[in-house]
Amino acid sequence: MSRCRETSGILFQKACRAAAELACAQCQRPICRAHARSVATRDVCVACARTALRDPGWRQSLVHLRDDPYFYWYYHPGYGDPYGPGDYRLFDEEGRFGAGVDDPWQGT
Amino acid sequence: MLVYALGGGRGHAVRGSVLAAALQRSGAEARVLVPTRAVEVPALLGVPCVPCPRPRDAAALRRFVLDTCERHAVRALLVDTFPEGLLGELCEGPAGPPRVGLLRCRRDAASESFLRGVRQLRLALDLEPHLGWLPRDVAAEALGPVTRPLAPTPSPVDVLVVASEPALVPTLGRLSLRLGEQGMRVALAAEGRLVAPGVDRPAFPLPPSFLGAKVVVGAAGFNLTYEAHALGAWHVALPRARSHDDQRRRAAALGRTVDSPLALERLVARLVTDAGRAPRRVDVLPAEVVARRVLAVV
Ligand SMILES: [Zn+2]
Ligand SMILES: [Zn+2]
Repeated sequence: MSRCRETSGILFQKACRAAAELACAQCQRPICRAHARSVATRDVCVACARTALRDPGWRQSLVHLRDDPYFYWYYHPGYGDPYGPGDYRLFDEEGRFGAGVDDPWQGT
Repeated sequence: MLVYALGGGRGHAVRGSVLAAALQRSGAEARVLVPTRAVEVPALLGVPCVPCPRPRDAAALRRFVLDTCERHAVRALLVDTFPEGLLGELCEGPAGPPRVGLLRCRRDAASESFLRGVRQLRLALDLEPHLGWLPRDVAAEALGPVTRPLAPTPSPVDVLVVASEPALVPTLGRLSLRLGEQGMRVALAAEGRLVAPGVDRPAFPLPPSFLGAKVVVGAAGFNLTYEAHALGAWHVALPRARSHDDQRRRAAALGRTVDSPLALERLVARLVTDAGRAPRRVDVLPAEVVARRVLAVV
């Protein structure tokens, strides 16, 4: 069995040591389960899924990747401005200051 | 001695463990009381701990704290942040051992429950006197912020981005990626991992070399703010809303703040290329200073 050839990390590239279990339906290279994503019912590698995500025509059908750690910073929500409403909300919490928002028994 | 370090997040557990470690180095027997979910903090810092499960109510927590004091023959209780107890439990019922308060900034410093807790302290130490947060008539000794021992080390990165809570992860992840594309050396701490080119390790505790990057981006909690400050990093702060902590006040005094993601990106880039080290605004103390002060009164 060959090794996974995907080098995409969550943020930085690195070699994957896992055994390949399938081939990317787009670029054909061998990949492991952890690096496979479903795009239009085909299993593709993370790199090919990221390429698809950059195409406006595909974005709508890839919303399931939004909360995937490999993708949420590729999910550029707007065009021109790389940041979207969720990013801007982080800087606009006037209303929330003063509200008790953390549970004393919760961790972060 | 027992260090009471209950509270949300891990900040209390870190500060409490650091102090307990300093007390031990000063020859005292010390352990730290932390929420059960945070036991890995004292474990990593090499301090004996008492895990505290989520209590049913204030009365249950009071019983747990007093039982713990009795079981370990505790002579003094060092209470972090909440002199009245996290649920107000320390002000009710039997007094227990004498208490020393380690007070960091609280937005509700004028509240009756906080003031009542402070009045019952043998000694109140203000860890953030430079923020002017305590009401003027509160008798507290101005000390200063304490951190774990941090030796300055050359940093392998220009920017350390700390996404310490889920709400920060998408935006700060995007920021990290974009800074990297602009040629900066970036490390991102998110979801328990610290990742940088050639680095992938547990995020906690953050190594001093990374905290000593040119710029540290993250929330304005106590530990990150003062650890970065102690090492001369610029802290570009995203103050987060908390029920007790006042991160905006801390960020305004020690860090730089911005009002949009693009402004954040531009400020980080400018600080990395143009600026020298961040100006020293306050002296960050080794925990031994607090330990000595505490041992002098109990
Ligand atoms: Zn793989
Ligand atoms: Zn592929």
